Amino acid sequence: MPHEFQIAGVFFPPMLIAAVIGVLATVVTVRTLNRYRLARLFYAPTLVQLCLAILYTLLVNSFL
Amino acid sequence: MKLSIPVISIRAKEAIKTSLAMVIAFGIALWLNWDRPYWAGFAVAFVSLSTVGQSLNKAALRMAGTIAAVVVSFIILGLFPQDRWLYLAALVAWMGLCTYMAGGPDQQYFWVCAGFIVALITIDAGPNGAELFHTAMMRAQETGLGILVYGLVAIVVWPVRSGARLDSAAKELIVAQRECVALGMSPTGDRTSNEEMRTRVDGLLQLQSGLMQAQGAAIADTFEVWERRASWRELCAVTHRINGILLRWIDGIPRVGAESLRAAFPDLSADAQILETRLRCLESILDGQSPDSIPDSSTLRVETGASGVTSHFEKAEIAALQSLWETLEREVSMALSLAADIRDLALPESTAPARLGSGIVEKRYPALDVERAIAALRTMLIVTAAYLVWIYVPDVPAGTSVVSIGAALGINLSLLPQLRASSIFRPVFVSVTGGSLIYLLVMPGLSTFVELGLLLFGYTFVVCYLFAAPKQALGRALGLAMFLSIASISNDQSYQFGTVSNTALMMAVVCLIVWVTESVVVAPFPENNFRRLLSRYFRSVRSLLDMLGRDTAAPLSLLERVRKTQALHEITTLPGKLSVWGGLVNPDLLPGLSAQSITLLLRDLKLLSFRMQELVDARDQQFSEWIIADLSPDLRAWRLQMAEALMELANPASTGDNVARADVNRLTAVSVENIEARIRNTLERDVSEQLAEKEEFALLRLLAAFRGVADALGRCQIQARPVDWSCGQEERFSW
Repeated sequence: MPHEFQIAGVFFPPMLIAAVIGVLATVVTVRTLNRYRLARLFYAPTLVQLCLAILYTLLVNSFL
Repeated sequence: MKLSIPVISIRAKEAIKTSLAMVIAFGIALWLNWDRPYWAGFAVAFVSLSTVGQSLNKAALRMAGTIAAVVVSFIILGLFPQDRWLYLAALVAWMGLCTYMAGGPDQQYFWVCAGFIVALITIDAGPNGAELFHTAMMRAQETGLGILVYGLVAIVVWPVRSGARLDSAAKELIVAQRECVALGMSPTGDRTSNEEMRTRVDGLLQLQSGLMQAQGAAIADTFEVWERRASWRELCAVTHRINGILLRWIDGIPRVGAESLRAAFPDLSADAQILETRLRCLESILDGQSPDSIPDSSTLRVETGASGVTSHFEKAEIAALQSLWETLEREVSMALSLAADIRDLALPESTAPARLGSGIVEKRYPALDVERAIAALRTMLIVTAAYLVWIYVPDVPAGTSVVSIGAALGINLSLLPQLRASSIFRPVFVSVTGGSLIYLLVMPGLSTFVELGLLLFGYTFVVCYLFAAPKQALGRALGLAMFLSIASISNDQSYQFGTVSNTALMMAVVCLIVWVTESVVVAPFPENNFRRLLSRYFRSVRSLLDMLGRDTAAPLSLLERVRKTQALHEITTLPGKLSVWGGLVNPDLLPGLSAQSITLLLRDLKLLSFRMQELVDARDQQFSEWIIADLSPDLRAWRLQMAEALMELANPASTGDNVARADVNRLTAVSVENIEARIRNTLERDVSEQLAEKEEFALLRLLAAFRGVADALGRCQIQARPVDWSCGQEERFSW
């Protein structure tokens, strides 16, 4: 069912909110991995962070 | 009583000119009741530069790019009006091509405009043919209006012409070259003097770059320069070649030694004075004064059998230096003749230029540029992502603008890979906030064009004044573009909060796309990129060295030609790209590397490129079979040792500490000794074959080139070997 997400009366597409939260969650995750030098365990970290962002976005979107 | 007129700074004058042009462009567009008058405003905002010539050049490129984009838009939408995937494929391919071309040396801004304006027109118009034609024509005519208005304002109000700047840049370069000649032609031989000479030559390259910029602008805005544009272009090319000769000369001195040099060229000081005098004459001519007399070009006499010059490698270098001298004199004669033509002065007949020899010319090789291809891929990725977001994200705010603004930002950011995507967040936020506040709080109170004009003038002035420096161009462009987008000034003006929120959210989406796709093609860390390019550089040199081993009598296969051209392209272009990344490298992440060692490494890389090209040219000569039979084994061994050292430099992490590393300088000393002995034995042998003069020169040239490559490589090794490249090699996430 179509729905909107509103903040202070301004309507936002839910996917946009999900994408912002997804990217923020990815930033937190990858910085934590960088801090503990765990990025070296991945073959292509840049693709991993992109995939993480997509997965987080889809996950958050399913709850909105 | 005296009236004191306040002095207006150049910065304020430029801001006033842009603001005035903005108001006039808007006034005309509104008066003619054109749709989207802010497109004229965009043209004014983006073409304004510090001199009339620079602005006119940029304006011409923007106009030409817009026209090209209009034509391509018709073709793309004409071919795929109903198929969104084929349309996307065509758009993305065109954007990729434009980004690739925009990364090249010529007409970059033309390709930038031709790229993103296609996305803007086609997305905005949609599949409706009539709408497409209207949008395309409107875009072209409003861009033309903005350019015309700014051009007229720049010519009429405080015009800053580049002619005087060109004159001073040319004179400054000639003076610096004369000083280099004075220093380089009478060397003392000590290390400090050599370093000072190298630093001065580095300075020449910067002055040359300034001269080239001034030349382009002056041709556009100064009639006298336009009239003599062919001579000015040739003069710039000549000064560029003189820089190359001086660089090569200064590099050759330590190999011969100051004492041997003076012994081999007994008249060097006298000839150098003549050359200096000729360069002084060149300065006078550029000042518009005809010199009373110009000395004839000198021929540097070589003392054959000079004491102290016993080694064949020294002889080879001396022969190379003499050849350089001859080329230098010819170039100076040519410069005198061109300067006289520019100033409309007559020269004595003896100074007429001889036909130019091969000299030292920076060649361009038609090959695939990997970095430009990476930039093209990044733009294609951004446009595709923006397009998919527009199609698949429901209710994405200002959906069409996500693609067009994404394309515009994408192409610009892809061309500046060293600029992190996150660096645009703050300027975007500030400009959107500022534009929104004015749109919501100030604009609704305006009722006449006078008031609107004052607002436009004031806002443009403040943005242009605060972001006047070239480094702040991004902030200035965003500040003006965001305000004009949000304000959406038209004759039927309305005010909606939705405009503000949609624009803000659209920019957030675009920033998100740009940021997310930033590291997909190549990670944006300067250390990684520096190491990656350096590795590719050494691999290219190695590839060329490998090709030297082939039989020169046999023609190159197609694959070999492509490989050779690609490698030559890489070694000529990579030092410049490395210097961009080198300035951003954090030495803490690469222990052993410092700002100074980066500078020295970059200089040695340029020299290595230069020497490698000489070696490739020298190797193409044909030699007698007995020379090949005698010298080949030693030269081959030397070449393989250098190839091994290059392999180590290209893959430093794979070479363990316990592996015996090839020290190029030590190996060079051994190889030089071996080859020296070999040549002596060969020549002393009673053989019927005698070296023809031409063949002897070719052989000496080959030896000098080999030695030059080995020395330059040795210096690169000294700079690169202490660096712990493995530290910067560890994979990391980029966010």
